[in-house]
Amino acid sequence: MIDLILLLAALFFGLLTVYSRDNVYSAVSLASAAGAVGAYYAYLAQFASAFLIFVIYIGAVMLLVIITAAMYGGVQRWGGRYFLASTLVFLVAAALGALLWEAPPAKPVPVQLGDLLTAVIMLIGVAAVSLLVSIEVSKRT
Amino acid sequence: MSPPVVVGFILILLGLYNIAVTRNLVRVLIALELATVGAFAALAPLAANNPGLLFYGVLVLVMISVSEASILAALIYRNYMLTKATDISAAASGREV
Repeated sequence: MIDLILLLAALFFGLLTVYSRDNVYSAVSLASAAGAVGAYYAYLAQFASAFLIFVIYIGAVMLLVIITAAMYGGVQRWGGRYFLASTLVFLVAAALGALLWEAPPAKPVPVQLGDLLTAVIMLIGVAAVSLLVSIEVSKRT
Repeated sequence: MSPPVVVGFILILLGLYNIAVTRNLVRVLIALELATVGAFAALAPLAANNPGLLFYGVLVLVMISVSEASILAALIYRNYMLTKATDISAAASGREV
């Protein structure tokens, strides 16, 4: 019951993101949708993933999005045609989602995890190198 | 299929459509993050059979979204500094010769 409420909240705030004209309201409702998804992860008892979503995703990415929207602002210059078209897209997506819901569940495939430590070390190395390069580039300009 | 997959699917489709239809760079950033939120929701049923893979999936998605949000924020900043607008169609007038 709680999971359906959380998912419906995520869907509602996602729709509000699409339909609101002002970019700031759109960014704030997007952060609310991300918070609902993070709460769903916490409901599934995936606390490490919920921590990642709440602290890193909402704390860094959503902060960047909200501040960008608040700095540059802007509203959408869209009329009734945009609302009609996005409503049609939403209805088609909902129909496809209902088809997905009705489909028989697939048999879960066992996943072979390789050596994740090398991949993590490579990712951290790439992140460190790109940070150094971006700092050097921003010094030159 | 489970409900989070359906919700994530709808959110991803809405985000992709909104990217395709808009001309405002700030709205492109917001729609891109909406697609990422949908991907988070669609990844959630993995918690039932493989929680470790779910954590790494969330980690990779967070790193991807950080990089693309920083790229788009830099693009918006550059476009606004050169053309005083955040419209995609104004980007050509800010060309450096």
